[in-house]
Amino acid sequence: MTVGLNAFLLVSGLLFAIGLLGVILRKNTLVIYMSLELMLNAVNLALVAFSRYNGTMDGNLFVFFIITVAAAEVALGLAIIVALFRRRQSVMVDQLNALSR
Amino acid sequence: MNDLLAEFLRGYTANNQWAIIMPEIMLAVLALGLLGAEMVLPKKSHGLIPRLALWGQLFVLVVAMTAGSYIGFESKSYFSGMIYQTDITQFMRGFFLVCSILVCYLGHIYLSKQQLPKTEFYHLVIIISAAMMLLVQSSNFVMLFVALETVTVAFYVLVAYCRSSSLSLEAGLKYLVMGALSSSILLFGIVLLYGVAGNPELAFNSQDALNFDELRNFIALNSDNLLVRVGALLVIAGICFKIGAVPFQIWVPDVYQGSPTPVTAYLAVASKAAGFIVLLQLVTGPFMGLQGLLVPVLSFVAAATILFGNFAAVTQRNVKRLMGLSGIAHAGYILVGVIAAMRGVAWAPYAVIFYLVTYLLASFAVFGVMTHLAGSDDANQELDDYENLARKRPFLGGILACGLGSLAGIPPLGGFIGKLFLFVAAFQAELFGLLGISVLGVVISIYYYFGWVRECYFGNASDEVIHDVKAPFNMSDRVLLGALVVGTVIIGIVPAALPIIP
Amino acid sequence: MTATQSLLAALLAPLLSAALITFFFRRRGVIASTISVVAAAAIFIFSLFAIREMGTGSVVASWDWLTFGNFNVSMGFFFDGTAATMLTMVAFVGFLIHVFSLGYMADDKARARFFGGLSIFMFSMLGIILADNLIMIFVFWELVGFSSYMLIGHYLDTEEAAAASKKAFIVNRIGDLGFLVGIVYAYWHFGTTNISEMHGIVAANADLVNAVIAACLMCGFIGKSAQFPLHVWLPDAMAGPTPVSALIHAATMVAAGVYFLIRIAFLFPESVLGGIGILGTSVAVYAGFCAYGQNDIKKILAYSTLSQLGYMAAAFGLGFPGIALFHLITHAFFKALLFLGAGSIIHGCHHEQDIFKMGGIFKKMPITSITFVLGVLALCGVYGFSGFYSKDAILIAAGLDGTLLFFLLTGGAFLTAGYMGRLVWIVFFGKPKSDAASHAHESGFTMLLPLIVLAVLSVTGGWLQFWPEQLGHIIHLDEVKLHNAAGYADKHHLVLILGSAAWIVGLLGSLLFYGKGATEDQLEKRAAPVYGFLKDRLWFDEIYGYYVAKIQQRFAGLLSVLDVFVIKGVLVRGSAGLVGLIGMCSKSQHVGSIHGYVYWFLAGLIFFWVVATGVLKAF
Repeated sequence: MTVGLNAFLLVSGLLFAIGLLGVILRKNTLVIYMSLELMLNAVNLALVAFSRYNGTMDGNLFVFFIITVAAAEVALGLAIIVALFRRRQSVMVDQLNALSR
Repeated sequence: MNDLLAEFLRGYTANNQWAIIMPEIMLAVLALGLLGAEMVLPKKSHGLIPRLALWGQLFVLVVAMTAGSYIGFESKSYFSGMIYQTDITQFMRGFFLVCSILVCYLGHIYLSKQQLPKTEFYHLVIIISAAMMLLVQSSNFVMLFVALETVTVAFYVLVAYCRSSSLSLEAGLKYLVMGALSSSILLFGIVLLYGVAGNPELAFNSQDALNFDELRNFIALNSDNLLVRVGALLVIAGICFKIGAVPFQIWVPDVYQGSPTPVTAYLAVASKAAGFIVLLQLVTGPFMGLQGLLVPVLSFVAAATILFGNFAAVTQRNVKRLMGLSGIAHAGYILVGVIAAMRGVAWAPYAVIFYLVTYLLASFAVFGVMTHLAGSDDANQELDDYENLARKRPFLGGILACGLGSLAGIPPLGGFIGKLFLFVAAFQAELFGLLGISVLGVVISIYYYFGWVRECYFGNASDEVIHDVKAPFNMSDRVLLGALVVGTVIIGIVPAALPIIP
Repeated sequence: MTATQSLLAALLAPLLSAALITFFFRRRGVIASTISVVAAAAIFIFSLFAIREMGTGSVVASWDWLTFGNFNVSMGFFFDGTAATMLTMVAFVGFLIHVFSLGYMADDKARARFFGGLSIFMFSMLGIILADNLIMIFVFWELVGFSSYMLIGHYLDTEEAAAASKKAFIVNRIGDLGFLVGIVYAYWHFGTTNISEMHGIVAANADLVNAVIAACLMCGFIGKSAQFPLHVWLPDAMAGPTPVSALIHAATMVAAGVYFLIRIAFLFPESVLGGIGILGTSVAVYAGFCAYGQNDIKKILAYSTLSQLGYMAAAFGLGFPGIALFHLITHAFFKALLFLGAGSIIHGCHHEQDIFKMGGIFKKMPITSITFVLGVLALCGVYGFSGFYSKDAILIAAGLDGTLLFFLLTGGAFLTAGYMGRLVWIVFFGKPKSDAASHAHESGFTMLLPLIVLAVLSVTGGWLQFWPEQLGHIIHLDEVKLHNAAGYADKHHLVLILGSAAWIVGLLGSLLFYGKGATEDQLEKRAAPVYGFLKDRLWFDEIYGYYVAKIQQRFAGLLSVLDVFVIKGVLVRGSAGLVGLIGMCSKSQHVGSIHGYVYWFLAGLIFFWVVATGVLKAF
């Protein structure tokens, strides 16, 4: 049995949607952060699938760049969240609204 | 053995494409050199580092500008289609360098009021500058993404740079979440385009489907394909985040308020400019075939951006948020220029660049004054703090008035000519509705810009000292801020002094 | 030195002076004032050079300023006889007022700012005079407005000055908006904004004259020359230093509106001209009445200026731009003289401006008084004085046109003589009515010299036959046109009689009416026969009181209600309130929570998705 391109894209789209929903619904910034990573991985999956079915390699190559960038982002994001936690004793979205209006 | 090596090198250098990105390489070396210098130099001579950063960048600026004039520059593709240099990218190199030099200078003032590590600031500013240069030159989505993320990730750090302030950290977190979200959206768009353009079943499919040229050929013939349309719009959405266009503008005031003032200036000017140049190159490059789709969308976005920015700024009292919101409005005007370019006004891209230059001069004048006046609590700069500024510090008051006047588009300042160019471009592109909205926006903007000037000049007389820290105001500050204003005036009186418009 | 170079030098000299003062001499009043005066002298000298080089032709030079696509804006000079006349007047009067300011502002702390402002003003004024296209005129027009704004608000610490400068600025913006629309329309209509090119187009095809363009451009004139309904800023602008009032709000800037009309006279169709004529006449009469209600010496002169601007507008509207220019020039001489004289008096009386607190100035300040009276005679149009010739021509032109305008304008002449007489009798004669007036002293040499020179010009300025040929050309043309018109001789005599009657009745009437017992014996003696005739002053007072209380006050009340409710309430407050409301709404979107912001992104994505899938095809 071969799995078609559409199946991969469906999973990828689902992952992206789940990630977006996570960003919208979850209150903990750490979880929001993971959801963002999930969205990036959805993109990765789609890239690899396209690369495979289109028979070009640059999609695969692109994935490595995305993974690298995502790693940098995660490192930074965690650092900021930790620093913020030290100041505010909270990482909940609804308490992080000192900057508004 | 030596001969062999020499021959290899000669063969290599005969076709040395690295030379064309020499300014970027030099900047990277400079940035790393700063970190190295911090390790090597004894603690008491760390004061050299900002100077090294400034003079190093000035040197790069000289190299970049003397290596090839942007006037009459021959567009050419390098690194197998990764980089495409035009007169615009050539000019933008200088633009970004000037920005980063100014930010380093303002950063020096800012850091002198804070207990923060210093070297990394300059390091990051310079890295961002190099990455933005590559960003505007990229003609491949991989290149674009990597350069864009280098800029964005470095900006995450800079926005949250003031680790002792929870506001700065909060701004950093917000920028991070929003930025990462927009990056994923952008990426998803790129992936869709890549997937559909590489599909062997479609006409004009390409094996190099991330390349702008290939994409342009493909999209021109497949402009009705749903995935192409969605992909292109998602990419535009990602760019709209960078330029702060409605509905992706909402992060702007919070992040602008929380970041250190020089970083705010950097975000407001350089990051936005980079976003616009990328947008220009996308809509006149790969997405050329999608005009029927993009022109209406961007027109709505531009109109909403102008109105939102101006209306929201009217009641704002925090000056950093005010600059953010008015910056949104400026993004709207520039978008009008971009749309004019899409509708075939050949010189509209240059009008956009001209506007960006006037925006740079005026914004840095205003941000420079703000940096000078800010206390150690950088995020809370209210309009009330500017009461009677002109009486207490007439020079700063004058600079501020000129900067704000130029932003509001008052002749004979540069901002007026910049707006004039954009509006004439819009007129020639027959965008009358957008033109009307822009003029309305300008009228509203005069209200709040002059509200600020009024605070400075016609406030109630009082003698209290407002700021706990007053930066020492020396000759070089005077010269720098004065030069920005003089530049604004000269461009306003003799626009030909800035030979951009062909 | 070619004419173009001289003109360029004349234009740049004040700019250089302003730059020097701003950057280097902000705290050095003496140096700054010297530089400014030297620059003003340089303007005059270079102007003379230019006129000598020009000969009887005209100088045209232009440089590309903005070029984009097929759109090209050039900056250039169009220097013809009209411009030469105006330039000479502005340069000369400007120089004299600079000299006067040396003395008048000697004690001012912010002298450098003042003289810097004067230099900027001279620069922008010359720009308007020399400009060869509408866009350039507009640019300098705005600059003039800015420098006027700056100079009105010179006395920063008085509330009045701040409010007045703001008012001037805002009111002028309204006029400029129409002006701007007119420029855009003109560009669209003619494909150019160059004055000579437009003239060529209109000359080739008279059907191209467009009333809308003319009306829009007229808005600029209405704002700058303070015509109804934008006249409100001029009296308030008197809060500025007196030399500024003399230079900007009497001799040059307000006249720039008229000059602008003269430059583009070929664009005006009959209908708009008629409108301008009526507008000007009504202002001439209206301001004449207003002047009677003022006690501030400068405000009386301000209303008089309004009234004379009305005469110029009327002359233009009647189709005699040359006559308008003539009156502009003569008015510049005697009105600058009057303002400077008023400045000298104010200076002598320790900044007292109320005429009822002056009195007996003639003895204390003889030279100022004599020159002032000469100015008054010129303004009233006494035979032989400069004002006579120009006003005479305007009245004849009105007489040829119709009865109503003639009647009103002649009535205006009576009014003029009346309020000027009132000013003269109260200020110069009788006994000093306050300490300040009794300690008045004659001003210094730098202030008297300009007065004397201007007095000579006020007397002789109207003798056209002595004018250099290239300057008086356009005026001569219109004079000849007037002379050859049918019915000229009759009107000429009528105007001569009525005009003389106007100043005699006006001056004497005011003497009888105002210069009653409290003044000197001699005056009372002279006034006795008529004085007895009008002994029962109560009667007048009652009418006056009734008029003021029942009619004028009610009318004013009605106007102010309209002003408050319609203009301030609905237009200003309403739009500001709307903007503020929308502003609050958009501001409230920044809730601070990341979630709130992500929803925006989501909304944006949905919007883009909807567009991409073509649901919104309708757009």
